Amino acid sequence: MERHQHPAAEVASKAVRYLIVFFIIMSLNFLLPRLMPGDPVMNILGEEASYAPPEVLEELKADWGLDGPLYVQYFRYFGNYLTGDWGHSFLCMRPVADAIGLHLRWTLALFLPAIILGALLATVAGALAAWYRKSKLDIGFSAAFLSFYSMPHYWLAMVLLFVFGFLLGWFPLGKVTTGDTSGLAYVADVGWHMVLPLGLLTVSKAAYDFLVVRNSVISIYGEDYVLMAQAKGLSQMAVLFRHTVRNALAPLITVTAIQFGVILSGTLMVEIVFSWPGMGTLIYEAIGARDYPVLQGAFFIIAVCMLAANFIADMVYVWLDPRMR
Amino acid sequence: MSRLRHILTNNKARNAGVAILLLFALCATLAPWIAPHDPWEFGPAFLHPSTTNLLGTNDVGQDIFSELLYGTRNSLLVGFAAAFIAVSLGTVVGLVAGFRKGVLDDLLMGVTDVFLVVPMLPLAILVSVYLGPSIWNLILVVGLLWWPSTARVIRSQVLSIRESGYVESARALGAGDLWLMWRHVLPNVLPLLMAKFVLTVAMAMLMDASLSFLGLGDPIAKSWGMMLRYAFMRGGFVGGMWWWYVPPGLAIGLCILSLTLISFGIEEKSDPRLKRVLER
Amino acid sequence: MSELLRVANLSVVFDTPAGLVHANRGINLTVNEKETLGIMGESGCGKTVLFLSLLRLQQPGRIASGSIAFDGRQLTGLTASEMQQVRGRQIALVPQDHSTALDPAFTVGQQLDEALMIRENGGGLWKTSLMGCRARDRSARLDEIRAVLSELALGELVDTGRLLARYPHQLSGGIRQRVLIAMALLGHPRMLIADEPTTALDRASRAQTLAVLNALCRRMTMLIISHDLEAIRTTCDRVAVMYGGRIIETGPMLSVFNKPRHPYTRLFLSCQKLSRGDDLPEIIGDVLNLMDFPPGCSFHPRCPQAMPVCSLVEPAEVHFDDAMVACHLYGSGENTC
Repeated sequence: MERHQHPAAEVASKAVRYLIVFFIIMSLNFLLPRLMPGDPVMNILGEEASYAPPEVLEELKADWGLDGPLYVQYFRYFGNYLTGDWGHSFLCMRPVADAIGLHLRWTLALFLPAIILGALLATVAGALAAWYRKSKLDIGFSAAFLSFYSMPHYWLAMVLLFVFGFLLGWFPLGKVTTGDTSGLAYVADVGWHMVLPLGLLTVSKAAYDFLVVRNSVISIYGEDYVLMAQAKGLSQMAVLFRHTVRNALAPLITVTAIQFGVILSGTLMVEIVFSWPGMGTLIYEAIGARDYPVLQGAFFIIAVCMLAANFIADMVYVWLDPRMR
Repeated sequence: MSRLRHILTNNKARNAGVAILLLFALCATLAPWIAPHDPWEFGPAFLHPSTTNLLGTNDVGQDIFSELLYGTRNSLLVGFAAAFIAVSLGTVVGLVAGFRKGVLDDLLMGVTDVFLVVPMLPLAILVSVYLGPSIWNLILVVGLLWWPSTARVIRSQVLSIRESGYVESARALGAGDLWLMWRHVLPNVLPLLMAKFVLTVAMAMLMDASLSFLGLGDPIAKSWGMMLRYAFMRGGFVGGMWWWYVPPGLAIGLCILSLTLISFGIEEKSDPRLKRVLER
Repeated sequence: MSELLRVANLSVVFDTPAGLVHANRGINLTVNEKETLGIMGESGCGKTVLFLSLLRLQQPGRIASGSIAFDGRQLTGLTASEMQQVRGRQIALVPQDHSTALDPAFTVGQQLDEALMIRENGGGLWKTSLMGCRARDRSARLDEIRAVLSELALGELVDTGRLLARYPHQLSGGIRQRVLIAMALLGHPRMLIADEPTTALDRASRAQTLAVLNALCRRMTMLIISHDLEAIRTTCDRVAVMYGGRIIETGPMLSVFNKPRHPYTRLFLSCQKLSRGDDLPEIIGDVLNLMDFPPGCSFHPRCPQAMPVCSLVEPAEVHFDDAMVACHLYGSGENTC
């Protein structure tokens, strides 16, 4: 392993790299509609374009920032995006930034707890499975998580909703609330609606992490310090959860960062099935209506969230391993 | 003898995976002959499962069981074609980056890092919205977006292999980069490449199903993702017709499970504590 | 002198992918109170498995037969939680490799404190966490840790306050080794097992560690596993020599060193004693493969004095006053050498 620099320098160099990636993502967002074969306005309007008078087309072009030389368009786009002007939604007739602001919080309300709870679940289950390797517990956990890992999230959501919503009637059929509640009752109502989607996403996230934790615990329990912890007279659980798991967490952090995108995609798809008013539902409706400004804004904000999440994961990684401080 | 038994028991998971995958491949090849109906043929809608329509019919009266069999073709085609593009691209990028240290490496790995951070599904949605729905566009989108993780793994393997003695000595004997890649590096990364390929097939299938579900697939083509979409949109889900949407999801899941088992159910590590007794 | 540890006919086997490994085969040994026993042998002779079995940490191996009596209690019959109370508080371990035996994620202070909490509260996950530990306040525990460290002459070498806040990778090998000894002593064990205490050290640290061990062996029961003859000579009262998973010779340290009985012991000692530049006598042949024993005496393929019987019959233990040897040269006790 390479020698590590001073922590502050490490953070600074990471920050610069993420800044560059941010810049590239913004450029990608700008270039995508302009790189596609054909004229962007024609692409957006589809068949209607052939009926529209030329001056209307010109006006639309100006509206969408598609007029003038490419570099002028680029600087205008950059300025607009940074000042929060992300264009107007065709579908809901309001600024894209507003629509996204409304939906993003509901996605995060599912995504963030799912990431944390899933990692916890995977850590405990993976550690126990590794410790009692080849026992019934290990085989059971492995089979269950592997099956969960393989099934499409949105399909599992449909099955869960069918069984627990339609058949048993234990949980609501979707959306965030049932209606007019406020205060504590509102929070309880939202929590109630959250059980199924959050539970599903937590287990999905855990399924991704389980094998990672299991593998890294297995390789760590051959370490001398694990033997030493046992020889000191620590109980099995203290050896496992203090000395073994603690050192197995670094790979988990790396994998969590890599899997952010996958889990987020899962969240978006699951939202659609549960009519959860987050980014997934917004995107779904925007696809149906070919609402390009919303799709571009959604891509941008999700990419930025991913960037931030990866940056945080990097920082946690440095903090977890004293040898890197 | 005990060695042989060890190998066999160790690969039980992989054998199961191969068996499931072969079954799907068989369904895909034989679909026109074993499907009881033409899946594009209209008929009475919303029929419940019966002996004539094993899984009932959909909203326009097409036989769901036949759709399911034909859908295998689509999933396997998209999965393997996209994975082929992605893994080839990733291998080339990884090999070049690993061999040509310096500016080119930094540049390629920079691009790779960007693609690793960018969320795939939203990007794929954006691209396919502009490209329009078609199975070939889907293959291209997934194939061109899913190469970075392969590139990363191959590069790190190349870096460790090129430091090893035999590559050094081959280089000292005057072997060129292309020759070294072909003769020494590629054979060494091949097992890894296979595992990566199989996992990419699984990812591509899942991506295909998700994009189809979102309405970005070919509306006429028979695919498991489209079946789920129509079941969800046109009353199958709300109407509790589980026989419409449970089978295609299960098929996707089984395909991905078999591919996952093949790729990393293979190697169970030996107990690391044994090193205290065995090593000298 | 009363007997503290008696191992009788202990056999340990490992199921490995490549087949069954007999790591220990019928081990007999005793250690008396306040006595120091040295165990010598090449790597791969089963020393490591032997002391791991005494702590019942030989997993994934299993004890196939035999008994381990410690202070009159049968360790082989204890439950997992009873055994956990023996570890650290009855029998403590100083491991071989100081660079890997300390947990890289915790400071030296946290790891020493943990050993102390185990002694006071038992080894449970909650009871050894800072929140679960209420028995004594932190400063009292700190005082005790400081006392033990200064006993090991660490107080003079480094600032203890700073030492405790350090992570293992920030310390030198000699300091880490003594931290490990301190950790073992904090459990107030009745017996200390030191596994190759000097091999992983440089010259200066080795001398210091030897001095520490020398002081300890006067007041404690110890089991020292080593092939460092100087370490054995300065600390041990008696020695046992292992080969091929068996103990082939035991006796008082001086008599074994001066008059080794077993041909293997003779060769082993002369190999280690010679200084640089001399012609090394060689123990010909490969180190024994624990999976595939030759019939008869396991040393016979390499033995310069092998007789026809050696390849047929495994030699029985031949006992003298205070010594034992397992070799056909000493049939029925009469000394033919």
